[in-house]
Amino acid sequence: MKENIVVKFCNVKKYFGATIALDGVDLDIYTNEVHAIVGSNGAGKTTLMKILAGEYLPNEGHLYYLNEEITGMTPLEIQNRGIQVVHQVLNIVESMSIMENILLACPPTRGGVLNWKEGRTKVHEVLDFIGMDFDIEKTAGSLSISEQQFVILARAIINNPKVLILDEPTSRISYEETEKLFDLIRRMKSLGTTTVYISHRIEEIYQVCDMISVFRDGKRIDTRATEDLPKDELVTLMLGKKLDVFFPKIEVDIGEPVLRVKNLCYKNVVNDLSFSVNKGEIISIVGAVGSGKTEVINAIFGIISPDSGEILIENEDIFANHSPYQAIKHGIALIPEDREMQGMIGDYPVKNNLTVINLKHILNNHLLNARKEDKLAQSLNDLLSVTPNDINYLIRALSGGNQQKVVIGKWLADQYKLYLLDEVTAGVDIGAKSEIYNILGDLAKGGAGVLLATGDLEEAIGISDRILILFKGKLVKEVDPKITSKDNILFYIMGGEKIA
Amino acid sequence: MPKSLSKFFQAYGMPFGLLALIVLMQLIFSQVPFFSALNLRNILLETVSISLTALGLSFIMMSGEGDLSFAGMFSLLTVIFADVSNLYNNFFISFITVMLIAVAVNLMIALLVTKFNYSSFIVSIAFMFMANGIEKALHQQTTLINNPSIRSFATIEFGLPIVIWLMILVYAVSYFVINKTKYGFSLRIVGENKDAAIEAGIDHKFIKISAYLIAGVLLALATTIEATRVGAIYEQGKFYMLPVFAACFLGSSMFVPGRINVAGTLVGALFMGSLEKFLNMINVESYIVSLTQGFVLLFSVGLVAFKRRKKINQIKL
Repeated sequence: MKENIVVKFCNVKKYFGATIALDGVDLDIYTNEVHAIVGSNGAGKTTLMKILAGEYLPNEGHLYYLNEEITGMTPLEIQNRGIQVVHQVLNIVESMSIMENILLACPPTRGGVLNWKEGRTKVHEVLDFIGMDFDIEKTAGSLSISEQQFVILARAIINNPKVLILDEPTSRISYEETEKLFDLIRRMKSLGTTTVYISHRIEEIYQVCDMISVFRDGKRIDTRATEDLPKDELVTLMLGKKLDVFFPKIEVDIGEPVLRVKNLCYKNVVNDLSFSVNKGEIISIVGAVGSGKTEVINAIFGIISPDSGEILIENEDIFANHSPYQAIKHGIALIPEDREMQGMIGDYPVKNNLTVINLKHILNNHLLNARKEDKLAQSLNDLLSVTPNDINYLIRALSGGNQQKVVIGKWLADQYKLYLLDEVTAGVDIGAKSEIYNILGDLAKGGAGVLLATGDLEEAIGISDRILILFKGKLVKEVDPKITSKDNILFYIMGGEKIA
Repeated sequence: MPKSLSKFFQAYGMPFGLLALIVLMQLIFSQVPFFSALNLRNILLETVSISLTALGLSFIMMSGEGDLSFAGMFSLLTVIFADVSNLYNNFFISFITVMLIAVAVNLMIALLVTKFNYSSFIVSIAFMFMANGIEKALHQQTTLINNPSIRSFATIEFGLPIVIWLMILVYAVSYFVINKTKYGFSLRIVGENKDAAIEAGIDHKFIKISAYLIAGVLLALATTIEATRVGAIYEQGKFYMLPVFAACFLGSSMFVPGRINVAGTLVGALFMGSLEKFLNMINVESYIVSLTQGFVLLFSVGLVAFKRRKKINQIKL
């Protein structure tokens, strides 16, 4: 094996029944590299990493670490050799302290008896290295989600791994924290750690990664140095076809206000917020984690009861006795932030997920009619190009992007006045993202108002007519993305007061 | 409220509250000699079997599983102990028999749960009914041990009856193992977040099986003590189901709030025993005792759920 290859995949194949997850993958990862693995959902990225971590056994093929064959080793053996994974799902033990969580896999003992004193120095060292300052005796459950992310990171790097695999590490952390993470990755690189970076966020990959490996349909399509791979070529490799227009250009007549929010207050999360959305407009709400975006959306849909204010739908104040039922009656649709828990019914097929709010369309004499249900579900599935196009497919088995299309799909059977979307493209691959933007454009064209809460600035700039910037629950600025630069928007998101 | 005071209150508020409740009851019913040395000794003695059974259940629940089999196994084991004692007149043979059976049954449950992914509640309920069935086949009445020297095991004294010292010792060792050893650490992780345990390289199946085996040993101890002290009472296990669960859940509201823990289970068991004793001393009908115990269980489960509910809402942010 070549001198500076740290991980080598040789013709790795993995099937799940009839599904081919990995179709003969060869990949070399070198020392001191930050190597991005990109691809649409279902391309094989996570499967490949799970095989490396020892969680899956490949059906065929071999993998090597330094000069050793590690095919078929257990997760513990893999970890002991210096390969660490930070998964997408944060596995924190909430009732235990930060120190215990960081040393979860290697608690300091003397003859089977725990000796936490010995671990303290090590824990403080790793937290210093990361640049976080915690009271390590505090319970992990008391931390914010982004702080928990850093605790998990500390757990992964405390024993100086040679290979660090990060799976979507920035989905829960702020812009500043992302910079911290990148700095950490660079410092670890100079100390000899190879980082494998899996992410949908192309921007980030271009910021921190040296090499990019593109996966599609279980195969590695190409591996190139980041500097030698322009973004649009990357997208073409990922999708297998050219993506002409990512953000659709649509000409829509802007009408009267469909939503007016006045002086909305909710605990100290939303502070005296006022804004409006007109018919045919796509408005984005942006802001840092905790700025109140989700609360505003939830208040408009009636999930939470704000303390005071007015919410007017076409001049009717729906503030009093508001609930999701009332919201739907008034023509408001919601695509919630948590797809798994709130947006879809995971154990049910696509069919039911599409008809769940459209029962009045599939009745025959007050009874549910299976044929009508199939017909409606199929027409929505076709409209959205859900892949695979099977209304009896279990929704959980679909990729994130296709799941989201189904989640949106159920709201397309009727004409709603206002569409609320919270992080609609989170965890969605680039192909499906583009399709979703086209759907939003069509909704606006049809005269509805579209209100988006998003952490993706590119997205907000790309599709919105106006952008509302929230900071600590207050509307600090309303901008026109055609005029205001991304840097300026970022400035306001961070809490900056005034520019030109 | 300053952070440290709040933490103190969360950990110790409940046990002080329970003590205050007992004191309050004593003040109301002042004719009852509750806080006499003899009475307290009797409460301890009468609570030993429940305490040890609850400790076994605690191990299982701390590892993330559940168990109901003890409700049927308890009385079956006391019957077996009594029958073997009457047959062989030997304490150790009886004890070993009961130990082997308790451990074997729990091993079976543990294997079904870990290897085949059956729900532990369903499997253990099945065993509860089977144990009850076997007990019915053996005797449908109380069985007493004839041999007085075997019976005396329950009453040998060193200041306090030896079984009380045994209970204290077992709890102390369990507390140490759960909180101060790597094994206990691993067990608590498995119970709280199985995925985190897998990521940390912990063999969660082994941990769960070991919890069931430990519970089997503790049940064997509990039933031996019960059989020698009061004999094998028909279907007694059913009556203990409530106080045993109540002890564990009440315990989860103290010391390590929201999680089943060793110290909490002990305090919970002692409280349930004290409560029952008190109610008996003021001569309430037995159905009121059951209602009260049921209410305490409801209250303690509700308290834990309430504490957790607030957290769930915050996570949405």
